[in-house]
Amino acid sequence: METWTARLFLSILLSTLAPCLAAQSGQPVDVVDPDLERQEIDIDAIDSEDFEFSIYGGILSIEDFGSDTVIGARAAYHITETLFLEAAYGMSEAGETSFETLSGAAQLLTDDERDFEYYNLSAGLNILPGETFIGSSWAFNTALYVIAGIGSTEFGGDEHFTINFGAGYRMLFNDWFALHVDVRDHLFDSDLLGTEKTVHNIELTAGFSVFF
Amino acid sequence: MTKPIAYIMVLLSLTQFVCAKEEQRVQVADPYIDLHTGPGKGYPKFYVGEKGDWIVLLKRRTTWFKVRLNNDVEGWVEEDQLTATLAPSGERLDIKKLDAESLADRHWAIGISGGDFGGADLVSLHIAYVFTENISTELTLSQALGTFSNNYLYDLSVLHKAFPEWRVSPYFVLGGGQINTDPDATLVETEDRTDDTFHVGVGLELPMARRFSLRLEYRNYLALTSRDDDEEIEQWKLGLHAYF
Repeated sequence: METWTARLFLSILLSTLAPCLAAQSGQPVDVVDPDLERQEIDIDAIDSEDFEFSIYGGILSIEDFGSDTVIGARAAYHITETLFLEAAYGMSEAGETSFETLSGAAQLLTDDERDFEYYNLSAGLNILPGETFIGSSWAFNTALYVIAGIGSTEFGGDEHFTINFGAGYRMLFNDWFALHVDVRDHLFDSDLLGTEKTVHNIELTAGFSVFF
Repeated sequence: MTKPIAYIMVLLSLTQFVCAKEEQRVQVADPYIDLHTGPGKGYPKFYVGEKGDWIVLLKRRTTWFKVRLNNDVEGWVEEDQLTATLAPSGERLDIKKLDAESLADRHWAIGISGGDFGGADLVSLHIAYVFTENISTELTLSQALGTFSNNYLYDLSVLHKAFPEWRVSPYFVLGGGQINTDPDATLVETEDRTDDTFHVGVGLELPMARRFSLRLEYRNYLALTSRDDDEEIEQWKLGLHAYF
């Protein structure tokens, strides 16, 4: 007797629940995939390449002293895709002023004083990123950047507070090796030729850099 | 084994150690990922990865990850599109939280600044180690270029941020160091001299983006000279400060 009531009760329960159960178990809906395997990622283990080191060479036009070769090195830290900080050191040797050349013997500066050395700390902005195409099968990432900063220049037996600004073009051959072409103006106040004036020393350089 | 060979072996094993980084393979949990040709928004998107795709995280540059898909397509994905993918298992992190955590993980910072040091033009470079969100220490190298002299400053300071949760965060500076004064060669009685210094200061840090901020700082230096009177010098500077 008891089993009968139990059976009856169960069958009623089943018949009322059946459509509901069928709807639930009929076709599983992928709301959450319980089999999703998630791996712990160690982000610090991924190689980050935010630093860039470059060497460069080119021509520096030293105001009143002609144009001479310049060589130098730069280290940059890329903060965002747009902004980077850069420290640079470069050296050159000044030639003679027109006066020295024409007069023959008169020398304004000693050999030591002709050494032109500078360092600067600058901030740069990558603008106009893009790709450049060489032939039909090569595409390289490029960016044009503007940069400005402050530093010091040792020239003519004195050190001068120097402002630099300019623009450059970076072409990446792969992820970590790039070609740079830069134009910079180094401005400082000098009284080397009697009266104090602001001198412009325009530098045109090319170099290679590696990201690490 | 001769010594040079031993050195080379050691060096090689060291490079092995440095280079042997575990491949970070992960399944995309975000709805989709855009692959760019370069690490920047300006570089074109050329491929889209789907949720559920397996990707290998190859390298990072600033806020971009270079990834390789299963079909060997490689491209750059911005961090913002990988928040769910990079979050620890089962957790859903919002970007702000991820940022705050990643910034808390960054212990080193560098910065450049310029300003005025007792009337002379100042150029300054610093490297900082961040202990907690309140306390950090800084090593600063500066050059002050004046009309009559040229100074080099070497400072070690402790910085205290009293309210790190404020958007514009004030901080206090206390430290010591040395000042090297090199008078202009054209002046008479020139003599290089080095003096010990102490400094106190205050500053304001204004975050500009995820990893860098703008800093305005005032420091009052006391140079303990060998002359009768100690010298007090004021320094103002404005600069950029970046965490890495």
